[in-house]
Amino acid sequence: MKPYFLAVLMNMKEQLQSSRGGGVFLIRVIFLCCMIVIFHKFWLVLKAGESSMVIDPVSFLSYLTVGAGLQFSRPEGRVKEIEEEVRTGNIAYQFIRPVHFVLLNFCECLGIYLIRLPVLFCVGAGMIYLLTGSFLPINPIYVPIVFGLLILSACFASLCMVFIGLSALYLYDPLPFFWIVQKCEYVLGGLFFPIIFYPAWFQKVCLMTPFGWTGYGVASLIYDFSFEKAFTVFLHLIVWNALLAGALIILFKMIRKRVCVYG
Amino acid sequence: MTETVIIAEQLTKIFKRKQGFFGKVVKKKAVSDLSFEVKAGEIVAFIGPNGGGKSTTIKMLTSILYPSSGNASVLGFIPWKNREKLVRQIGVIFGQKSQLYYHLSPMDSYCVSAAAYNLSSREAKSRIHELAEQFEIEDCLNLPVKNLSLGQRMRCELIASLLHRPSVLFLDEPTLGLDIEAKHLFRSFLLKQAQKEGTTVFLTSHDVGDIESLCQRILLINHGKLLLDSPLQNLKEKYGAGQVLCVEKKSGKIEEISLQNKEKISELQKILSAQTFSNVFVRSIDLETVIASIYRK
Repeated sequence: MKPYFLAVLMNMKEQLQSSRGGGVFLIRVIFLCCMIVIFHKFWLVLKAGESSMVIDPVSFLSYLTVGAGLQFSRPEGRVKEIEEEVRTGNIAYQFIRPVHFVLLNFCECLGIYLIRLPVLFCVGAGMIYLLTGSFLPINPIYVPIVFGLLILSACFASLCMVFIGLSALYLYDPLPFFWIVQKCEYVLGGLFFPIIFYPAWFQKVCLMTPFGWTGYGVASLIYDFSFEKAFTVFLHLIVWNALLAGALIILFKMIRKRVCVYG
Repeated sequence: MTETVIIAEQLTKIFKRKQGFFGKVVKKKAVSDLSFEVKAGEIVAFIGPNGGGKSTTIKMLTSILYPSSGNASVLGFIPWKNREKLVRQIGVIFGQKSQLYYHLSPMDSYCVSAAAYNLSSREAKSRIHELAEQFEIEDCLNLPVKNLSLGQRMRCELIASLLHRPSVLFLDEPTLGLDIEAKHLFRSFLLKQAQKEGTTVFLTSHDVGDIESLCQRILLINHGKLLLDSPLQNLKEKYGAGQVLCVEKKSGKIEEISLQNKEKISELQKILSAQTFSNVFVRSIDLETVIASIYRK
């Protein structure tokens, strides 16, 4: 497993050293800050009109920080690179290396998440403190647990990125597929509003998909933490990661067979 | 007796393509009954025009493609059956396909490659420094790849391919895009390395300079068939690569007479005795012209 571990480290290092990557990341940080400010104002207006809110502003902004942090950490560039390799047939040359293509790309995506996620998380927490004067509504000793689950969500998102990239062999342009997944994450994962605001039947639908757990499941722990809930989220994330990894391995085998037979 | 490291026996690859959704399947023979052997330590040029079947053959030998029929063996392994074992013993450079992380230093990329080939960090470090010293790029090891010149980058790529001491090196257009100086350096380093470690090199290149300065033998392929398997020196002699006598007539017309063409000698004698020439000089025919004439045949 050493080459894969090193691939994670090298991608973390590349994130820190690449000025282009750094620039793009800075824009994401600014965007997250703007989003927190806008939603804070929005929430104040809502709060003025209604005395009893389901969720307080600090909890809501914390939820937003975790959910949006995961979204903004996404390494979309990797999808394009994988797609390009599939489309040009260069993926064939990856088979000569004694490393598994899927695992290597998964680790490269994860390396990017591991740098972006904590930075966005800290920036988001700082912004919340500046705007509300309050820290995150979670006992600090539970933060590592939430962060661990967040990394499991990042694993699922990384697998998604590799899957979308590889699907270029059949779809040619997987961008629409990417958009569908992204919109599912927004809506079913409750990116901008926790799914508790949805009708009961739609909440059930959300939780039947992986996005309900990778998004809402993890992010809601920041304001409503319990070990039981964290364990349920953990189990669901493990199952969805395993299912997607299985599907990805099948897809990769199909691609390899096609490349090996048809060139 | 020198060991045979690459064997191809009646290797054939037929690609099937479906025309349209309900269209019929069209078959195209990319490689047809290709047979050859390469001995350990040989440096062989595998050449041919575009679409001739070179890349398909290399892909079959490096385990990327399954053949439609025939057999092949590289270092005793059947490539498409023993892919994992084979890839640990061969090195490859495919054109401009990089193995290095663009924003990081070559050293960082070598760490990942060394781990992939199960080299211990001590072993990897000493090997990297040995190769870097030999290829004169010690100063570049810790610079980001994006800051290196193409020549330095190609030498770094070569180090990445040689890190695990491969017995066979497959090179597909390794000097593509390099300037004359960088090409010269790349060739001399490759030659030195191959001689030092007895590495077998299987080279594909459209650059005749690569072939002339590196290879002892040429395998020429076109339309998927092996047209020629000859030592480089024999090829020059047989196909007239060498010198041609040029006689410039008083009319200004230049007549070229191959010194190997006995029928033309009498014609030459006639011209000389009639004293109808204004100048006589010798012109060299390069290997590129010879290869092009074989392609045309």
